[in-house]
Amino acid sequence: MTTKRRGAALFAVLTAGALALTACGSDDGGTEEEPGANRTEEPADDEGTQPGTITVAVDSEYTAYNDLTAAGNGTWNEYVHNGTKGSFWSYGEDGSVVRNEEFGTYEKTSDDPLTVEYTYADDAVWSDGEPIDCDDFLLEWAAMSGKMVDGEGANIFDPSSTNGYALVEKPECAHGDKTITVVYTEPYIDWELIFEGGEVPAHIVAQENGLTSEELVTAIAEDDIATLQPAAEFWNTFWQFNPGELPPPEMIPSSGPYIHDSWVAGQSLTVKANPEWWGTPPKTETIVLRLLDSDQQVAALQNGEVDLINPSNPTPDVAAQLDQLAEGGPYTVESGGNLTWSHIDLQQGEGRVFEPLEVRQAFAKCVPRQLIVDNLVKPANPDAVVQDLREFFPVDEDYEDARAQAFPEDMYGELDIEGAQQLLQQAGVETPVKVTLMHADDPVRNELAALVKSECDKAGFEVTDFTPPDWGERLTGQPGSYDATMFGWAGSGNIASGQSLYVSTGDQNPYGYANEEVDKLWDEVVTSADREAARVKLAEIEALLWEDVFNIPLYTNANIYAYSSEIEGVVVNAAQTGATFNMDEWSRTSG
Amino acid sequence: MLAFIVRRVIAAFGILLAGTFIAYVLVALSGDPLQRLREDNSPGREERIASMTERLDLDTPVPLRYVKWLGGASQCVLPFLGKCDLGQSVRGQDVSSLLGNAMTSTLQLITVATITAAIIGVMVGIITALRQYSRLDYTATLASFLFVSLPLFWFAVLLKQYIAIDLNDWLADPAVSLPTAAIVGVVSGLVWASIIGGDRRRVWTSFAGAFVVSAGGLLVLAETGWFRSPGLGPIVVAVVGLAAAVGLTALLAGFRYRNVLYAALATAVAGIVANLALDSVLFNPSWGVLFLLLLLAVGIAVGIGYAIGGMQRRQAITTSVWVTIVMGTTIVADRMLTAWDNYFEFVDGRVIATFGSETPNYDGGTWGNLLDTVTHLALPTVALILVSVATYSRYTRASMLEVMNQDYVRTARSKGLTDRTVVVRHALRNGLIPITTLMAFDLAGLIGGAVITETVFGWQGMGFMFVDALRNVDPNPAMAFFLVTGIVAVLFNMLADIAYAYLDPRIRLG
Repeated sequence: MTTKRRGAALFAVLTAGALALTACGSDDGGTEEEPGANRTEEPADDEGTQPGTITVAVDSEYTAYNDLTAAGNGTWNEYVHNGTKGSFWSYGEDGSVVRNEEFGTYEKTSDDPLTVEYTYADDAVWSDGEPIDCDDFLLEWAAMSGKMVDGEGANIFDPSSTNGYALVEKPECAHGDKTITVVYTEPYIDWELIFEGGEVPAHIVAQENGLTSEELVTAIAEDDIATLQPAAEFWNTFWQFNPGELPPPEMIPSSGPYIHDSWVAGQSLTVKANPEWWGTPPKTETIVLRLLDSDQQVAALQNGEVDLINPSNPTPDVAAQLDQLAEGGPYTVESGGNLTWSHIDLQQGEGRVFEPLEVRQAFAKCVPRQLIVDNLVKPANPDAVVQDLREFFPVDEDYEDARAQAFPEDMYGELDIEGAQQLLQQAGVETPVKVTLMHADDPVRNELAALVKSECDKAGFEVTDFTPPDWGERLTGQPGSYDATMFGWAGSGNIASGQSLYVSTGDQNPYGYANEEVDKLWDEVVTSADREAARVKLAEIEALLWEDVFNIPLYTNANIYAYSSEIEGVVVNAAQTGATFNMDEWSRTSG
Repeated sequence: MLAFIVRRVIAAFGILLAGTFIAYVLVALSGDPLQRLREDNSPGREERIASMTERLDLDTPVPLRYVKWLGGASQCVLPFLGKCDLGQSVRGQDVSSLLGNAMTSTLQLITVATITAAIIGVMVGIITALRQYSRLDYTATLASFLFVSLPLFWFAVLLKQYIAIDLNDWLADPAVSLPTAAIVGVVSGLVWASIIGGDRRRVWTSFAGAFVVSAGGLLVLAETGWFRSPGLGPIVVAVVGLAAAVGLTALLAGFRYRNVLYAALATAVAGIVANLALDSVLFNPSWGVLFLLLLLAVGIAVGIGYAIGGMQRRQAITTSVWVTIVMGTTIVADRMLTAWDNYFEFVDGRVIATFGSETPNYDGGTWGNLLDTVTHLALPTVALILVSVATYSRYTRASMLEVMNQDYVRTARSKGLTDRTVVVRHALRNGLIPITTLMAFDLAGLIGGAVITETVFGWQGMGFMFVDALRNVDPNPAMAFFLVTGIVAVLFNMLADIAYAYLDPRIRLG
């Protein structure tokens, strides 16, 4: 021992420099706590919030706190804001509207003019303690209405959409009011889906531009564009982030059950329970969103690195792997529909192939819709069904009723090659009828087109594949370059947005389709204020669309959730808001 | 030389200009960035399309857009011109910032992989060249062809299944059965027997020795719960240090003159003592301190080599430094494993990761974080190096064989030099010249991003950025990728040429 000591002493002389470094290297010498030992979370103040972490895989990275801007508006931000932003309403699991009474309430007080009164919960506060009130509401209106224009008539804000907001007259707000009333200049069906209420903190916008909240409110009330201009610039750009660069917490307060905690570029974003949240406490303290490509999510789930996955556009391979996983281990796999639906649209204007109704009917008869679902959709979602309507989805409660009313089951319920042949004869067109079918060049679409071709060619069509890279632009840009096109619409719970697809002057109707009755009914739908009544009218529209064979709906995309069976509270969600839409209800049962 | 460099730089500009133009046009024509929006039927579609058209400047014809892009991009390449501007991604992020992140993570990934691959590849190449047409040679040849032809994405899936998922499952209850131990023993015996070679008796002895050590060691480790909580400890560090001293002396200098051996042993002893003396420093040092310690250790090694080396001063210094490096690595590994239990608990036993570069919200101090990085780097690194090792070893083998058959080597042998001296002092340097070129090219390719590896292992580097950009029809990140890979390719080509001229006096640049 002594020799060793001596050796050590000798060496200590040699390494005097290194030892000197000790002093500046270790932070405080004395406390030799094991690194990372203090990582266990302190018990949360709120009863009901359990310490612990649940990790969910997402396929795109977060980019913006303000998702009302054109650039920030994306599902990848929604994944996070589902937890960190409160709203008067949200999309439910089937895309319907769910009121969020803990955040605030709203009431339609008049139909003519359409008037809605919004009331924030009394104790609603941003996570920095500032009350959420009509200041925030007014700023949302100012930014989204498109009415804050500069001298040249350009909107000083850069909103993702002025839809609906543009119909609202400037609401009146005295700084700090919890109640605010909005009046629409004309009735609007989706009035429930307009104001969210807790998106952007007005007091931060004011403070960062040297204003008080009162001054900001006054500036909006008085259309003081000069004062608002810098605030608008701030609103447009400040909350757009480069990867991993989360501003200090006081700049990104939360209005929901969670607050932003940390963000590592390309890796993960963590949210933690919001101590200032006044509603039902979230069940789990920490939620981590890990960035991972859909194809790699199964292995990560299997390795326990993530607890929940919702791979986008799941291939049959992914579905098969997940089934295997569920059989062999403690995993739950659930599948359901979503609101993205594929369809074939037909050019039916003057002189086009599909101008005669019979040709369209024949095409609808020969497209093997059931076969398509069996071969391409069911492997990923065993419960998949053929979608027979356009504005109603199989997940909707009223889908079956509307289908019974609108879908001519006897005509198009089954593949009918002979019927199609007869119809073509009746139409008196020369066979084979040449059809250029345009679609994206991806494996699923190609297989789908092959199925259509194999059946419809038997009926007297001659289907040619057309897969230009710029097919999206050609849809409306060069409607002459294709006869039929197949793609998906990403639907939302919004009703009015369907209008432009079907009415004769619609932006998204480059097919020459025109039916006065449909136009009239759509006008009634959009300007009605009653969702129930509107849905009834929609069913009438559906019937007309089938009568005219406007297009051929095919199926809704599969939507697969797979998670560790320890996790409770996961609900398959059809809307575009993603798996995290109810993250505050997730909990871990054991371990 | 200078004239050569100037000419090459001018040519490089032309190449880059033409290359980026072609790439820009191709990327611009590859698809429609607005496609996702066109399929979107939610409100505000028109506004969003207009906003993106403006942000990405889609209304400008492609050649004009290229000129604009070039204006911003040239400020990134040429310093002091102004603000670097590579445009925005479709999601509204600055591409220069995306590029910065991607390059950092790619560099992190390839540094370890390239160094490891080079060391292993060159070693395997030399050994197989020296043992030409032995069983080992045939096995290595077979293995390298297998690895070169292996589809990487498939291999990656296997890695995830066996090295991550199954290994983690096994770590939950790390038991080694007798048959498993026997199989590992036989494999290890075969490998060592063919490396050591010699007559039949020697082959059997080495086989038996390796079998007993591997199989027995495995069983003992499992029995003592080592796999549950692995570590090395000062004794293993000491043994490794001393073994490195003897082994490296044998390899680099031989035992004819004892000075080198003494210097190496002194360095090893110094390292062992330092490891014990600096225990509290090494408990949780910052990276800066670690780096300074490493510099200091190398300095001391040089000092020891200088003091004890005598006539063999140069060899003594080299050997001592290498001993220091081996010991340093061992000590770091030893310390890193002290964080194992803590880390194991945090990740719930799922030690080896299948994706990403870190465990979210884990902060285990220097050693814990290092362990975290290592467990995340493990799979992609293995995937990357297998292919590189295979190529390097083939090239090294071929070039070593060529050199070994040259007249000057025969002369060296005939004047009575030992095998070691002939190989290490005379053949190796010339044999490695072609590898230099190969590595320069390889590095250029790797900095461009290992597209498949990065995608499969969720590593957000250059390759992933490129693939992701292509998938989302996002022109600006794709162009940033082309810009970097283009510059790196041109630059490394030039460096390879210069290095070649430096290493091989027969070549003149001018």
